[in-house]
Amino acid sequence: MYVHPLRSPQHNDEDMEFLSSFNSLHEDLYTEILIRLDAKSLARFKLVSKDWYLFLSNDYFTRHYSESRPSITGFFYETSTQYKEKLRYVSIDTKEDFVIDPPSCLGFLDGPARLVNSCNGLLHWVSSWDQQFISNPLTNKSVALPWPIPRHQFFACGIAFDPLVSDHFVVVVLLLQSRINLKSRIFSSETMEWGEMKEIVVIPHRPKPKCCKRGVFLNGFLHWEMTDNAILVYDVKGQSGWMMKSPMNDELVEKLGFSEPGCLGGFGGKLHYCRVIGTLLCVWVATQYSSSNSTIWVEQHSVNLYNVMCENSSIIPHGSQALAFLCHGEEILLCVKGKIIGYRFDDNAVREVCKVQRSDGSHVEPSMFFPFVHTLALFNLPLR
Amino acid sequence: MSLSPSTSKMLSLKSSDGKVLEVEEHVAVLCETIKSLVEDGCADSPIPLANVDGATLGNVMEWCKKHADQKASADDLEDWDAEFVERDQGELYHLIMAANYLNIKGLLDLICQKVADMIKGKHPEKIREIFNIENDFTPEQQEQIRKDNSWAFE
Repeated sequence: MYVHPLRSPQHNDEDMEFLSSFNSLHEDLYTEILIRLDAKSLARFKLVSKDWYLFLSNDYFTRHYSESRPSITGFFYETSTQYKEKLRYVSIDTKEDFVIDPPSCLGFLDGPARLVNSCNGLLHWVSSWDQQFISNPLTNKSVALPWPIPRHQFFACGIAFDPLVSDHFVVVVLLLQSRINLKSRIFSSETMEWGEMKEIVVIPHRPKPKCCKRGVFLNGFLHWEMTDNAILVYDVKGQSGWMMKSPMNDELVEKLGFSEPGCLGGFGGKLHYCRVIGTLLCVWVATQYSSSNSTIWVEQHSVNLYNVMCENSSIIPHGSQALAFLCHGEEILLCVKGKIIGYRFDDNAVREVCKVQRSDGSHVEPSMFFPFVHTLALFNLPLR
Repeated sequence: MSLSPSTSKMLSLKSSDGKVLEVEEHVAVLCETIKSLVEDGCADSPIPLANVDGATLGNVMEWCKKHADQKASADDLEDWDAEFVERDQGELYHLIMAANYLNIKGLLDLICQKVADMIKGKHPEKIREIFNIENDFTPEQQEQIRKDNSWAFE
C-alpha cells in the first residue's frame, strides 16, 4: 500500500523510504520553488536547517530571485506637493500580492523622512535632520549613510545597484569645487566607507541637474538630465564622467522649457530617451555610449498618442508624461490625469495600470514617481 | 515534418514500471525531451522514460493534452490548472521530477508555484515537517538567526 510520506508527521519505519521526497529535490528545483516566495517567508526559512541557511544566504540565490522578476513591480509616489514625505505605494505586477505600506518602510527611523531616489529595489531617504539612509522595505534592512559632503559643494547623487550582478550597492556623489570642477566620491556597501575624491569633468556653463538626487542607473552608468539640454553620464566602474547631448532639439527645449526630466531606459546596452511633446510620444536610442561629443541619437518611435488613445480607450493624453520603460522597452508607462497607463509600441495597445490619488488633485509627474522592484537587496546584511 | 493535430501520429511512451502509453505526437512533443527525440528521428520504438512511473506519466500526459488543445482559452486553462494541482504532496513531488526530466516548462512553473503557495508564510518547524529536514542548528545558533531576522517572525 502506498502510504503518503508527508501527509502525517507521525510515521513508522516502513514509511521512511518515502520520507526523502521533497528533501531529495535537486538544487535547481529548490531554487525554482523558493524564488517565488516573499522576502519574509525566506527570512523565516533561514531557520529551517544549516543547508537552507547557506542556500538562502548565497549570492546565487539572491541573483536568481531577481532574474525571475520584471524590471518594475510597483512604485511609490508623493501624494502631496506640500508634504513630500506622504507617500503611497501601488503594485503593477499582478503576480505580486504583497503591497507595501509606505509608513512601515521607515521602521528604522523615529521621525519622518523624504524618499529622494530609488534604484532596482533600494530606496534613498533623507530624514528631517538631514540624515541619509538606503533601505529595502522588503527585507526590512537599512544602511545609515555617513554624509561627509559639504552642503554648498553638493551637485548630484545617485545609487548604483544591480541585483543581477551583486547584492552590494554604491552611492555616487558629485561635488562642485571652485564653481567649475566636478569631482566624485563613492560610498561602497562592501567597505561601508567613502572612497577618495576623483576629478571628473570641468563644467564651465554651470548647468544643474533637473533632479539632483536622482541619478538614473542604467548599463553601469549613472545619468542626470541637465537644465541645458545635456545628460551628465558617470561611469561607476571607471569613475569618470562626461556631458552628452540629449536628443531634444535645443530650440524646442528653449521654447517649451521642460522642467521635468525625460524618461531614460537601458536595454541591450543602449541608452533610450523618451519624452512626450504635446501629445507626441518620442523615443530615441543613442547609437553609442562613448565620452566623445559625437553621440548620435536615432529616433525609434514617434507616436501621436491622441490617435492611439482615442481609438483604443477614452483616455485623453493631454499633459501626459513618460515615467518608465517596461519589458525591455516594449511598453512605456505614462502618467495622465490621475492614472498611470501603459502603452505598447508594437500593437498600440493601451491599458490602464492603476489610478493615482494626489491629496491636492494635481497630477503625478516623473519627479514624484519612484519605481520599485521586489529584490532581496540587503537580505544578508548583518544587524549591527 | 508536420506536428499539426490533423496529421498527428501516435507515439508509444514506456514508463519506468513498464507501462506503455499511446499518446498523440502533437501532445507528447510538449515535452521538450520527447520533441528532440522526434526531431532527431529516434522516436520509432516505444520511448523508454526511465525516470517517470506510469501513474505520473498518465498525469503529465493529461496536462499536455489539455495544453495542446488549441481551442482552450487562457481563462479555461487557468481554471483547469488550478484544479490539476490539487494533489497531495507525494503526487506533486513526482510531477515536479517528471516535468523537470521531460523538460516541460509550463508544467514545472505550475507545480513550483503550487508548492511555493503551500509553504508561503509557514513557520520553519512546518517546513522541516513538509520537506523532512532535520534541525541541525544548536539552540544558540537558532536564537541568533531568529534575532537577526526577528522582523520576519512578527
